[in-house]
Amino acid sequence: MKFAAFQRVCVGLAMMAALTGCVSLPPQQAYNRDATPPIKTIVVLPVTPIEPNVLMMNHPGANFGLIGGLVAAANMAGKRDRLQAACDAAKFDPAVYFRESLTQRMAERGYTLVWPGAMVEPKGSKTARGVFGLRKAYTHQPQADAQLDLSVNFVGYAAAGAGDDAPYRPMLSVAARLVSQDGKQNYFTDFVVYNNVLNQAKVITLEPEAQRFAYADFDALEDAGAETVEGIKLAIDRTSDALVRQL
Amino acid sequence: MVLLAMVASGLPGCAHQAYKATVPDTRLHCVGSLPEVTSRPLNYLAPGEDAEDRRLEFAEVAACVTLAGAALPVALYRLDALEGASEIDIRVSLSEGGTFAASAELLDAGFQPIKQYRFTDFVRRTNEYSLSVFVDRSRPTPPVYLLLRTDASHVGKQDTTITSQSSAFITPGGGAYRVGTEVSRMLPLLGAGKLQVVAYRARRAAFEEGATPHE
Repeated sequence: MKFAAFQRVCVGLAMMAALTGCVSLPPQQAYNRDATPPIKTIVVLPVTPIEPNVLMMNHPGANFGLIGGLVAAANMAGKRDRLQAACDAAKFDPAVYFRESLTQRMAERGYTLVWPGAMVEPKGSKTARGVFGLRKAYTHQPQADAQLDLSVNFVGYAAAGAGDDAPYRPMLSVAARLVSQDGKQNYFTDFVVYNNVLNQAKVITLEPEAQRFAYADFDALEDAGAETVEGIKLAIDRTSDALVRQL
Repeated sequence: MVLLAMVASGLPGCAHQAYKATVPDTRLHCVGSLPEVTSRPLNYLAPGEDAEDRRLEFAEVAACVTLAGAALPVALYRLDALEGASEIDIRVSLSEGGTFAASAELLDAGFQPIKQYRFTDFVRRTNEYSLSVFVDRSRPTPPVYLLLRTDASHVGKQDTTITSQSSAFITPGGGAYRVGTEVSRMLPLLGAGKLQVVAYRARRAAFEEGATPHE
């Protein structure tokens, strides 16, 4: 258990480093429809686990060295577990909702998404990925015209700080890459962040609702019950919209 | 006294609060048609040249033309220096002093539109909007000009951003105490603002670091 908690802290720190711009984005690629072979079916590659998460920038504990940082990480882990419980109570799985949201919108755009039998890779998978979760290399996928690599790097709620003037709002960060059938051509690579609380540069940014789904503190978020799930759904739908618009 | 000084801020652009977009002057020297507008060549980045060096006010590149009875500021770029497949990267800066609600058109040699992009086709990216326009000059009837002008349907609207701001305070012991707040900014969309137009030879980006999409 202790190792698992430590592992989550390490993963969290790596994610923070990536999202805050301490790590360069992989090269972005705009989609050039005129220079791309016709695409109708797209196979979606298995994604890494998509689990609700909670993030607070400038956590007060982080001001007190390593011990304070560990206290902050433990505090965030507790909140993450509470958000997960709220999602479970609402029978909400962000991975399933994202799949449905994206599939519907891609279909409206003329693309048929083919999802793998197991959408989520098992934990401990050996797939080589970059810091933003996208694969480092691709294989031939003969069953479709192209392949879509997705990485949901954060889904949940985030706050700019601990005060009342920094409410928790839904946040979603997704990396997406469309690759040729043979796995050699990069047709499209970009990054979408709903509620860019980390001010990450260069990514496609979607602003959160000013009034809805903003909670002064985590207790208020928890008290909102199923409404918190609606906030995440909105973030997913708007992110799907933004991704599909690029293609 | 615990809080002595604010030493850092994480909000992009807050050092530019005094900026005010320069509105193009359409009162003088208005020509009557697009062929009369003085065009400027669009070139690839020179070795060592930074794309940011090309960021300037729309008013600096705009000329006045009267179209359908209205005097309009437009920026007309010639594409004849581009070879084969190219990507034109257009960016406008988000600012409280004014964000250029731009639209773009590819024109043929007769100044007729081949393809049009409205402001809604631009993609919001943190502190700017971007639009990628692909052209292939090796095709039989390639675009000859890029025309930028204001998307009037968006002028007067506001763009709201909600971001975070981190502030660090020095404590008596010499340490730093960081606090974070949420900051909401209203950014007016205007027929003026900062603009960057850069052309690159089109090539597929590498999957990971080690290569860049544009050289």
